[in-house]
Amino acid sequence: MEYEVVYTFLPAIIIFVPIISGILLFFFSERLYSYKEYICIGVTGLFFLLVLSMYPAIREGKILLGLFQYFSFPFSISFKVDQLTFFLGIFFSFVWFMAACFSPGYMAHEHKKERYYAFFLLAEGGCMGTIFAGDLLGLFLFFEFMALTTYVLIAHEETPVTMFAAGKYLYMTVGGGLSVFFGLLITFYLTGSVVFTRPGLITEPSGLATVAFVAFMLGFGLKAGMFPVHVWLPDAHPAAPSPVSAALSGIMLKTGIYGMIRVIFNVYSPDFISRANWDTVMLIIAAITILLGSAMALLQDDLKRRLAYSSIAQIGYIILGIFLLNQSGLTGGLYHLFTHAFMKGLLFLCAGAIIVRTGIRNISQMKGIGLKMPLTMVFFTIASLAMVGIPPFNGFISKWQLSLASLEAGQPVFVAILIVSSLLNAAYYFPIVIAAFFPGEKDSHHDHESVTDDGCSENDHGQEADDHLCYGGRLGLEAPWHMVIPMGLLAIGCFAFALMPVNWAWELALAAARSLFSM
Amino acid sequence: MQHNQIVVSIIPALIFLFPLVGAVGAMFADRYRSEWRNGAIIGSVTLPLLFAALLYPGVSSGKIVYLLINLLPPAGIEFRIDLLSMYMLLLFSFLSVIIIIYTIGYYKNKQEGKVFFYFMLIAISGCLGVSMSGNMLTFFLFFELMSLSFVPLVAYKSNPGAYRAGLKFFFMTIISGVALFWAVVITYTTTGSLAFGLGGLVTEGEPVLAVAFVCYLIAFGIKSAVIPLHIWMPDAYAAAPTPAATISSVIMLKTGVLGLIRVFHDIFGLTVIQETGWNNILLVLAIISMLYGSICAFAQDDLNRRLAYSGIAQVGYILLGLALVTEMALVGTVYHIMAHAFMKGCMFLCAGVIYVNTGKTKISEMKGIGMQMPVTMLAFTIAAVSSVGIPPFNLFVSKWHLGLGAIEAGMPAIILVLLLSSILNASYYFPISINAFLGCRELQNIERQRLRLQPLRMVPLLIFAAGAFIFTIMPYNWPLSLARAIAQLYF
Repeated sequence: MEYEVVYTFLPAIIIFVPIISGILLFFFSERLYSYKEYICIGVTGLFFLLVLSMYPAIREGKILLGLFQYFSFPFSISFKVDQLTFFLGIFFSFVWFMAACFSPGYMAHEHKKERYYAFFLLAEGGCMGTIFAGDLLGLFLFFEFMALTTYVLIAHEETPVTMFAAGKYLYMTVGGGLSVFFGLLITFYLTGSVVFTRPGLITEPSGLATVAFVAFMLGFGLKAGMFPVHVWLPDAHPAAPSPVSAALSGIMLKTGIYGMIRVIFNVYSPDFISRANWDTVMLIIAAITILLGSAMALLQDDLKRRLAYSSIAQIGYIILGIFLLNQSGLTGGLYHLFTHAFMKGLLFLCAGAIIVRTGIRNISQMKGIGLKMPLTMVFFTIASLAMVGIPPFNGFISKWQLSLASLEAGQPVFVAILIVSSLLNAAYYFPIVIAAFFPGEKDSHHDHESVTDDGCSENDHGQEADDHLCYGGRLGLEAPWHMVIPMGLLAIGCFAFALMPVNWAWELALAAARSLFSM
Repeated sequence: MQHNQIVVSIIPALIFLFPLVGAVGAMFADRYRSEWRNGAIIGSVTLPLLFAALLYPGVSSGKIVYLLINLLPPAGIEFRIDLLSMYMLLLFSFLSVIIIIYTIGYYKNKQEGKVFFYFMLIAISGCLGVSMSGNMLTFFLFFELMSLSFVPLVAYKSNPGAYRAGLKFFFMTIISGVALFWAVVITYTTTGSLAFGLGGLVTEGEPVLAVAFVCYLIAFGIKSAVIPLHIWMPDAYAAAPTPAATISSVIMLKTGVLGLIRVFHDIFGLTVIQETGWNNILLVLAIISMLYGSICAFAQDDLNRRLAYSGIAQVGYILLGLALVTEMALVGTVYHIMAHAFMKGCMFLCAGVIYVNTGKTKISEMKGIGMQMPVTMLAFTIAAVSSVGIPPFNLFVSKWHLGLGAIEAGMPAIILVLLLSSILNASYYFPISINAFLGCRELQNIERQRLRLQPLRMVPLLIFAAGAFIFTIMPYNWPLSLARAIAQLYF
């Protein structure tokens, strides 16, 4: 299939909307202080609409290409929106938008809000730039930009624990970035170009090509949270403010996956990779990532930590899907990418709502929380069901597709791994849900979770508090509407597409996978 | 290379004379008309920049500006501005203007900085002379002028530590001078010439020339602080006033590198170097410098000292590119000279601003300093991030070319060293920026008050910070194209 290329500045302009507004917000923080939330929500919303506005062209099978001449080394970078990047861009920008909408509620009692919102926008710009970049150099540029700006977001609370977690993230991510740099360098040396073309740039097997592949996988895998370079992830997610965790886990991890996809299809080619047997190695790593992430998630008591390990497992699914190197596997992987962005984004927002309203972080203290925050926990339940992969939720479709693709590739063992992992998913999500709605017999410590009116107090030291303080009534703890709405929209996203007559997301994922395999 | 049109011009002599005259002028101004002093100083460094810019169009179109003063037989004082000299000359004169402006801000009290400026101007004159030299003898002459006038700058604070550091530097300079002297003598007796630009005077790698090569390495290695000849540097930087440390780091180190480039490409010639494999000596030294410098930088709590050790590592990069003897690597080397100058200059000036405003030199005391001086620390952060080699910063470009050069030379493993050193860079620079801005919720309000900063100190600092990325985000990367042209001339 031939794709018509349209030259336009739109992708470049889109990327610089959040970046420039973030910079302005940072430098004029005093003057813009009272508008910071509106700016952040407005810009992320505008970003989503701008991406959406490219839909007609994409549907007609066009590729939007924007050359950006103002960057002289070693060639100008370009921006490109094709079927794949549009698919990622549209859903990611939506999740960013939701996380931005959720932020004011979560950040109400935090300090340095102007810095938070400024870097939120910068990180969004970096993340989307990574996806819309038309060559590896641009990808690397925005990848690093995103990595560094995210540091400030993760470290936002500035407590020693947070600083440690964020520091771990920073140094690992710098290492990962340099690893990508190494791969980039070899690619350029071998081929004299880093522009995404089809078929891939490197066609001849050589020692250097192997080194480059390892370097790329380490660099992008590190960002994605792939075993064995996932170690920053379980620390960074709980440390970050919840909307950031949602964006981090739901979206930014996926930039690593996106990098891998580009490496498979544009730097090398699927044939090349399967000939070199690299796919087997990566499938084994994916399997380990899935099982390890799920098993570790079971052991965590900190909710966000459990979610973080769960993210590792889910990333394993996606890596599995794309390294099956067939079209259905890629479709499944891409669809799961979108699914996971919604589910995990939602779960982290729910965790954030719980933290901000009750101060509870530990699962063991969450007994009966569903009775106090019913909507939040309903959303949590929806996301959990989707995670486990129960129809009609999105997670079911992606797991179904991944299983089919495994069979197609003649690797039924991965179906078993998917099933085991789904069971583990159920084992670590359902107890939360069950305990939340059915606290069981009220023992003498039923109010052990300390709860105060603004929900910001610490919950240890056996501080007693009673429900009467909490806005009165049983539902008094429910998150305010401006937090519920973004969660609700994401929850709808978890199943709406699967219920529609035409699964729009599925069509997009399919088109993206087809575009990668067809050329 | 020999077919270049040669233009005889008096301008090179003027360029190196201006700062000398400026020094004398400043001396008189201090005595009779103190309000004219700053004008004299700034004028005497700005004029070389203007004249260098005047020469640029000719040189960039392939002409060579030449001037022979028959003073020192047998070789004579010979100025010869080819593309490499032009690049260095522009860089040095531009940097010296900025540093001089900063120094005027640094020594607000005119009495305090009086003598400092005289020696500073003499040192600048030496640097400019070095960059324009047309033969090794001239190079030697200006090199010594520059080094010796730097001794009082190191010892300027006049405390025991400063004297010690100054003395140490003085002895190292003497050793460097003696080594260079021997090298020049050997070169002249074996080849009968010292001139640059003939594409290599030496035709065969005789043993006596190996001695000369080692002498050159020692002489220029001391100046550019290659391990194990770096020992003067951390002490000198910690003891010297910031402008002195800055000018040493961003300009004088580079004269050592320039000397080695001349030795490699103009005295010995590529064929000899490659046949004999002498470049491997430098290669090993460079790699050790890159790693050792970075590791040592970790352990330092004194900011200037940390910057000094990091400078050792950075010079390691620069010399690595030279030692790899490939075209791409040389592009990296030449570009890195500029990249490092802007990055390290910015950091040193930040250290100076912090010192002058708060009296702090220890990194551990600098927690939350970003609240007091956000712009300074933002500039520092830019420099710190650029040091890792992330696009769109300069260091990405130089590391890129160094990496390509390493693969070209068949040694991709060297890239791992490069990357390791980059990670180390990040891990000793980032904590400074991070502690400056983050993790300081418990600070008192008094410590969060913004300080009023002097524009004369801030503007040079911001120019340096902007220099860390301004060329790469332009549509036309001017230093890179110059670096490429220079490398093309040699390969």
